[in-house]
Amino acid sequence: MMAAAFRTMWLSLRRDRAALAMAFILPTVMFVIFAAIFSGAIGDRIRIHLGLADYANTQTTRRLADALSAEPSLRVEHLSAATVPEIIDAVRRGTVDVALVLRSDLALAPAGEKPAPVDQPVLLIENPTRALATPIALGQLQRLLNEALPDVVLSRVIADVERTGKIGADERKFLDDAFAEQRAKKEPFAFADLVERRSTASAGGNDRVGYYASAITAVFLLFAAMQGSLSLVEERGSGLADRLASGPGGFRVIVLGKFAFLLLQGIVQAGLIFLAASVLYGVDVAPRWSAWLLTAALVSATAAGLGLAACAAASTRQQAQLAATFGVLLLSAIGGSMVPRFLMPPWLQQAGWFTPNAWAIEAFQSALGEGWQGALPAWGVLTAVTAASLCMALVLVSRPMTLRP
Amino acid sequence: MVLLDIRNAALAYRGRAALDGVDLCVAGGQTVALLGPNGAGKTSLLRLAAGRLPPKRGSVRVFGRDPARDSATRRRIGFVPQEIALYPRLTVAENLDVFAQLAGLKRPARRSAVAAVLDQTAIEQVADRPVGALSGGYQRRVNLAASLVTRPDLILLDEPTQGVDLAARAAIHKVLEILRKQGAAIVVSTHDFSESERLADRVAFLSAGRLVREGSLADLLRPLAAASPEYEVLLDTPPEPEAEAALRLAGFCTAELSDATSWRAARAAAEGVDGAALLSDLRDAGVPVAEIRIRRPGLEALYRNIIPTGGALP
Repeated sequence: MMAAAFRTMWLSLRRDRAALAMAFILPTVMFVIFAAIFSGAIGDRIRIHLGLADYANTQTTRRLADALSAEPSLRVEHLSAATVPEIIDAVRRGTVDVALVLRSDLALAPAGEKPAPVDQPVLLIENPTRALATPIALGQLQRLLNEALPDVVLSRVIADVERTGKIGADERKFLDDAFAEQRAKKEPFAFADLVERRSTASAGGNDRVGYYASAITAVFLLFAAMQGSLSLVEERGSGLADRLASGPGGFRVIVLGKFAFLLLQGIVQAGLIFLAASVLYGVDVAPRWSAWLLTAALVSATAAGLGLAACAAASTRQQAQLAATFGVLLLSAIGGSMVPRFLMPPWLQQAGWFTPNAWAIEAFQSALGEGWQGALPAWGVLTAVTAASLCMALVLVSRPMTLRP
Repeated sequence: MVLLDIRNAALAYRGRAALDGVDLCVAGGQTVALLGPNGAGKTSLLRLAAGRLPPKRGSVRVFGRDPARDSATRRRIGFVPQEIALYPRLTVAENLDVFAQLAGLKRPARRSAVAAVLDQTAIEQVADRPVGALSGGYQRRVNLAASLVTRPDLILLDEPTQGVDLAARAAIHKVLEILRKQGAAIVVSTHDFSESERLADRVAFLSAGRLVREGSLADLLRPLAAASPEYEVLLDTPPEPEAEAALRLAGFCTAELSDATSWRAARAAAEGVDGAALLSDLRDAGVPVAEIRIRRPGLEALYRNIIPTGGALP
């Protein structure tokens, strides 16, 4: 009897060409777009649009301008011909995300005890609506100063020391000459050696895109399950309810048949998303394919269970549609399917653990990164949520209240 | 043999009584028509009999078992809902096969059951067409067929001919007559008096959740056999005040409050009146008469006497 409900879902989907295409093409398209957006927006591939005006045009400012232009994470647009008000206007209009104006030589020691703001050699013009651009620009500026112009940074420090009287003009000249000599030898003093970078990325994989494949699988499967479960509301609202509920298996076998269909559909959709991730971005599923498959099945089952429970609880199609759109969007936003949870406030990060999306992402990440053992806790949560929601759906469709006149 | 036995059944939806103290027995080879205004409880009674709802009070037995609790008993019941309860994207044959599968029939049995019901309801020619692409009349016939695919012994139909043309109506009536001859017990809820008179052995009148009169069609109509014929005047347009006064003077009143073009005569008033003379008199008085009907009183007249609806028809 369950097979009949499964078959009905499959035949109805197969005959609806548009729905069929959306069910199996949309996941891949959605993943490719979202992966491109989000992997660039928060990863190390972000490229902010930086306006740069070199009014000083000295040796040090040219070196900084060259270093900025060569930096791959920045798209530099030279604005040297523009005045400061014009540059401010360009930032306000969004022509550039943020702008740097090099007003004077970077190595020039300040004349007074404490430099006035106008005497600071670099002016940064920011736009509050592009707040993320400012720390990125400042961070890259600082890094490039340390890596490409360490002598300039040091000379400014030494100038400060000189002002305290600890060293004299001769000693300062000696140090300046030493910096120049090292730079001429292409072996400048640098701060870069202070930091060693290590990554948790697995060899051969693409963990960042792997995260988005997991996140988008979670949100898409929830949407697909909700849409698929809407047929339950339609059946209950039409004469089919009388016919189906009067059958020997009642409405429960219908719910179980739909669950089986949505489970299989979800596994196929997850497979398509990870196939695209594998082909386009090098996400490596093969070494832990069995853990991935079980995770995909559990995430799909969770989405199907929740979708059926929501539609069984809904009295009308409108209620179910609201749950399908706003409910899924809310869960996805909090659960990290849209923006990674580490970017959220701490309380929202904690709230994320109450969403299926967070556990789905956790399960995929653990299964692909660590295998079976690492994914066990998330699998446990997904199994519990599936069991609870499916039971709830079965109880709801069996209660007399659903059998309204 | 009594197939359906409902005793003192009561039912409530969200605290509102839908049925109260209903008794109904239906034997094999018998057709019972349920008549009553909208909201009288006809559909609720069918759902109760189908085992879809358990009674709040009283008992419902089909073959001596409670259909709400016993799935094997539900399998012997064919329920034909008022709405088209089919999957529109599936073909007729696929729909029938799905409902047979949901009823628990195995593949070989399903194949023969679908073929038999396609033949029984004379819809083989549309077997491979999606239900959504069929006319309303054919959808009604498939709706009936889907409930017959398991060869039920008790068939419950909720307004099975609503909105269908004469051909589809006749086809459905023919199927129901054959089923009755084969020994099935049939309960049909309808607003169609002529359908009831044609199909039913017994008639039950429901009003406000109560069964107000029930009996064999012959017994119910017997007192009306000797009564004077009914006169009904149909007008082209609603009458002007002078024409309305003339109608009332002749003993007529509106058949339906919402329809000013249909007027009926109180039997006593029209007794012995010649139809041709009546037509001539009314036209002379400026009444825009389109048609005068003179007929033997039937279920409709009985219904008007029994159901206190202020003249409104079901």
